[in-house]
Amino acid sequence: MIQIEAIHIEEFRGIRNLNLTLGSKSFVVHGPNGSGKSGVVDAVDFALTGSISRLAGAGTSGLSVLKHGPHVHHRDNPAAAKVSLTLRDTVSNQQAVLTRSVKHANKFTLEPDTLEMRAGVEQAQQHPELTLSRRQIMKYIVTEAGRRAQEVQALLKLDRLDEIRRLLKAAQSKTSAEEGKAKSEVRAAEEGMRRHTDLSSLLTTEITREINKRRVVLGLDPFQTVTLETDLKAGVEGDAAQATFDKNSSVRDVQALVGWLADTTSLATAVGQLNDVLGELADDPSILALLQQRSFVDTGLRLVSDAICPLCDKDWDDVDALRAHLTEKLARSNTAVELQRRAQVGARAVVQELRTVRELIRTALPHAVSFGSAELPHRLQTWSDDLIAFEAQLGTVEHAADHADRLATDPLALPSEIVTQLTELLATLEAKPDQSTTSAARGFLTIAQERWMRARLARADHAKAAATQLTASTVYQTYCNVADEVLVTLYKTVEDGFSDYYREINADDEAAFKAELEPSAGKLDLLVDFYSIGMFPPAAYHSEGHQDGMGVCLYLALVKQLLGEDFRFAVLDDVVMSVDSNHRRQFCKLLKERFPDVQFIITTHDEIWARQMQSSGLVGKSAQARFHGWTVNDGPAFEQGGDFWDRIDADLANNDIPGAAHKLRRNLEAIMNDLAESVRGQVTFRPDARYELGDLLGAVKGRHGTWLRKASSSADSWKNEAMKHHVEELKRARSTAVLAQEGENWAVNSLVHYNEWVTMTKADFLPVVEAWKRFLALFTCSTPNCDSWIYVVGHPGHEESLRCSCGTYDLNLRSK
Amino acid sequence: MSSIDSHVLKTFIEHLGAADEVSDAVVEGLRTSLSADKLPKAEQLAELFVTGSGDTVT
Repeated sequence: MIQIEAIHIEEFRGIRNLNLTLGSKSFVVHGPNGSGKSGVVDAVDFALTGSISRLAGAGTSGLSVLKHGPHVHHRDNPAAAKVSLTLRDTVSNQQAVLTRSVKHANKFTLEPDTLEMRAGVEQAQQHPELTLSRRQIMKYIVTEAGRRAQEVQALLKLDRLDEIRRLLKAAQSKTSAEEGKAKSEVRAAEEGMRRHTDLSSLLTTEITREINKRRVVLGLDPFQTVTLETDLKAGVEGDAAQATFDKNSSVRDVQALVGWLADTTSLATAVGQLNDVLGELADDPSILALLQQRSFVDTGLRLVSDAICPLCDKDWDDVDALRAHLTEKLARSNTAVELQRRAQVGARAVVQELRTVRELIRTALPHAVSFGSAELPHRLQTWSDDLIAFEAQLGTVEHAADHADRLATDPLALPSEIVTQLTELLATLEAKPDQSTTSAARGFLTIAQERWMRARLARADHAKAAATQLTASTVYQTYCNVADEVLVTLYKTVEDGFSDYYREINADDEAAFKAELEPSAGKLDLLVDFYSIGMFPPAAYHSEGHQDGMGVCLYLALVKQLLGEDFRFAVLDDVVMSVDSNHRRQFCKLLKERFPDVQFIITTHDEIWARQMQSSGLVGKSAQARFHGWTVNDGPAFEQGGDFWDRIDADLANNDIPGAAHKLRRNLEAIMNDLAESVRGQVTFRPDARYELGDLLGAVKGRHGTWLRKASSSADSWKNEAMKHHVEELKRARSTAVLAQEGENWAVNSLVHYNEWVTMTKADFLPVVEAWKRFLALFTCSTPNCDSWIYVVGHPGHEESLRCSCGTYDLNLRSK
Repeated sequence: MSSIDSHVLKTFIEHLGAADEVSDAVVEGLRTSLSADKLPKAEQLAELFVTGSGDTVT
């Protein structure tokens, strides 16, 4: 997987020309809203994927990368808009520059273009989810179960699982349909054999008896027993073997058709049921339309994210009204689905009846050819063809509805005079002189053999079709079982990771937090614990800040599941803006400790947040870009790297004392807030929490001294001489630094009442700056890669240690 | 294919290989067709099941 060493942006979105050096480390871009931070996010997104997620999705119709990717001054010159990323492959450690221009967004160049780098870029290209905005994280949390399932599936790339599942189901349905047809053919063939032999069943003993009766008449050896492979007319020779007339059998064949036509009760019943459903559809034509729109509406409902209809772009008063409208449409289409099901059941019953009569026509047809009127065979064949076509039309509700008239009046479309002509045929057959016993026996065996052969082939075909269906069912079921098992495990892992991460952030008040992810029928329900009272949807009781935290935790758990060890970078665009200040340090700790190899590129409009990321060690002190203004002609005004001391030094170099003093005061206030929190400084409570710098400074100094004394006692109790010596050194450093700081305390008061800045000179101010640097160094880890503030670990009253993020600064506070 | 797809497909093929109802030809055909970037049509899979199931009718 790749990480980002540097970013170069030209004429892209709101940026004219910008370079950032990240060094494959976590990095924070901060600045007020509208200062151009998101342009950096869009640039990374674009360079890696060729698209800009901000320009896609609901509410972005009419926006495109080609038209709206370039800076507005280059809107007609997309070739001018380009982004280059210097990337590093974390495995091979190779570096290459990826460049993509808006004009050819689907292509990128890579220099040098090595296999490793190309593989890394292509992997990142497949994971647009690595660039995440707050809007996107909420779709995992505050959303409907169906929509959440879609989003999570898309993020985890599970779409293909569903695609394969549907594919195997479709193949299984096809084999089932073939098996059904083969079964019908077996029924029809066996019915023909039964009718010919005038048997009520095809028991081997009865068939053998009937066949042997005729064989004895012809002087042939009787069979011991008849099997499907037996040639029933074996031994019948010459023209006799071609005899195809058996009067009694022929009469039964034609009688069966005439009899069926005389009593069409079962057809009428089936047609009646189908007509009832079609009548209901005719009474409310919108139901049929809803049926056709159902999947469209369902998709639309899942896409709703604001008060603009994703299907037609119509503005609604509010998102709930839009959702209610689409939900009502979907509910009405549920009625349509039930009607569709009833119609399909009715249509299948009608088709079964039509197949029966077609089979009877088929067996009567040879007799019509031999003994019927001249036009009867043609009329029977035409009628049979018409029934086949009609059956095909009953395959869908819409087509069946088109044939409602025929179903209501004459579903058989009986040709005129056909019954009369069949009755005449029957009379002709019955009037035939009785055949000689030998002739009848020859005819019986010949026809029996034909029908026996048909039954044998039908059974073989059915056996094949049944085996095929068993294969298809086994394949489909096996895939479902395997996929379900994998998904259950996967969701359980995600659930555990999500709960774990969230507990870590909210250990102070939700240490027992747990979440449940429940996949079911295309949905993914999410319930979360609320202070051990019960499991509820995330938006039910948790604050927006907590929901934000959940969104990031679930995202991290999902991406960790998806990429595993390949999770090496992510862009978090203002995703944590609602996380309350009490949980930011834990959030930073989570990212730093649980994802130590991941490069996080984080944007925030909150400078305090940015500083907390630095003080916690999540990002280095120089790993920042500060955006502080934007104009359409120049793009963002920004500065990269350096901490506030660098900026103060720059002001002093320019003799800008008010500027340096302003920065010092502002940062000291913020830092003292952080330190008061991290070393648990005790201040006199103020309801408005507007503590003065002096209040916080005193609290921090006092607490720091307390912890050092406690660390000294601890070292004594454990007889740890090295630690004792180390603590004594820290105490000496503290004395010196505090003395210097207090010596310059006059300046603090001036800073608090900052109208006195103007009277200070550079010479006045330099010692103040130095004193504060030394003072703050007391609270800072000296390891360059850590550089974080020290903090107290352990519950109040049971403090365990005073340490930094990397553990280099680590004083034991517990005594033996 | 994502790692999850690959894992599911691999396990699926292993399970099918142990199923008496499914022939080696079908297992091999599924391994090939379901690993390809473009999935086959349902008709093609149905045909695979036909040729790989039951006794051949002559």
